[in-house]
Amino acid sequence: MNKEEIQYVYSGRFDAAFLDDLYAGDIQSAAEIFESSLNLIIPEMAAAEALFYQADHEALRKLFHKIKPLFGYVGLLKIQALVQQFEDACGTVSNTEELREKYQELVIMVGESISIIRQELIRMKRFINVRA
Amino acid sequence: MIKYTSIIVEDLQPASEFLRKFCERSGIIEVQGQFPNGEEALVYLSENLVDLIFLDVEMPGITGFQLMDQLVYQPQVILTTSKTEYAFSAFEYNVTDFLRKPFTYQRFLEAVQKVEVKKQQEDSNATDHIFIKVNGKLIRLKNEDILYIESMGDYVKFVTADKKYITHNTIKNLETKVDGQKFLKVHRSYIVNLASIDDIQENTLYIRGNHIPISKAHKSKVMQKINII
Repeated sequence: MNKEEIQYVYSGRFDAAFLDDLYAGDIQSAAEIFESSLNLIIPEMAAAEALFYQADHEALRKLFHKIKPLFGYVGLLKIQALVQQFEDACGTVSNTEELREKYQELVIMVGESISIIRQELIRMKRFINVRA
Repeated sequence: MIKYTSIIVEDLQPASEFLRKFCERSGIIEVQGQFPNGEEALVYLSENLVDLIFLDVEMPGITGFQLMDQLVYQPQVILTTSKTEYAFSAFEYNVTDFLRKPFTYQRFLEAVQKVEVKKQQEDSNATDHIFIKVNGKLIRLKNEDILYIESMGDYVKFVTADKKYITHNTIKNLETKVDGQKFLKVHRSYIVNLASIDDIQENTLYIRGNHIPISKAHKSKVMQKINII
């Protein structure tokens, strides 16, 4: 079988159809975006924790506004929508307690996302190496 | 074949890279620079002209809208944001399109198509004359009779071979109203009729003995437009 014809198949947690639309089979580009997204999300989540405990809701809103599309670029559209909800909540709540439950839920979801993006990136790199 | 020069103003590095790849893939959009904030983009734009700006809205420092307020000329703008709430403001700023991140290549191409349509509309709106209001009268000036237009604060001076007309207007506004095929802004205070240029020496051009400065930002466009053989 011709190696050029082998198509990469994204894992089930990702919106594969959307990723195929975004990257059109260019797994090298997809892997680069996955990696740079991961490298941004991790430190930003650490920064978010500090902002949450400082009750700086506007800075928190801006931070999540910034990283929100990254979840789209890696095909996690449900997480992107969840981040959007949290971003909106940051702009409307008057005290941190109102945000706490949503924030904790988001932190868990993003933590899981980081893990699956990392695993997918390993798969993609293996695929690229095998194909090379 | 490259048809449009562009810059990307985007603080999210993966988004900026993603967009650059789409531009490369299109084969018609050259990305001359990628900037993580509006301030750095404005510095670049003060010395360089581009046809198109891909512009994020929320960034550290000035917003995309504030950047548009500070532009001294009007390239086409495609807003790239993850928030649909900006759509109304985008409409008010007359941007060419509004892309919600992340967007597909197909959606990107639709935006590029809108750039082409807008460019064609601007070109086809061109007529062989303009009307200017002077002392309560509308005066018809043929394009070919206008040598150049000079800024005078809130007023501009239209210079023809035998007359000068002063009217309430700005160079920035006129830049989009005059025929872009025949006229070119060469400095923040001057628009010239390309057919009237007698000669160019370094950063000055001459029209019937008048010295007109060419700014650094506009020099490359001037050199592109004139017919050098």
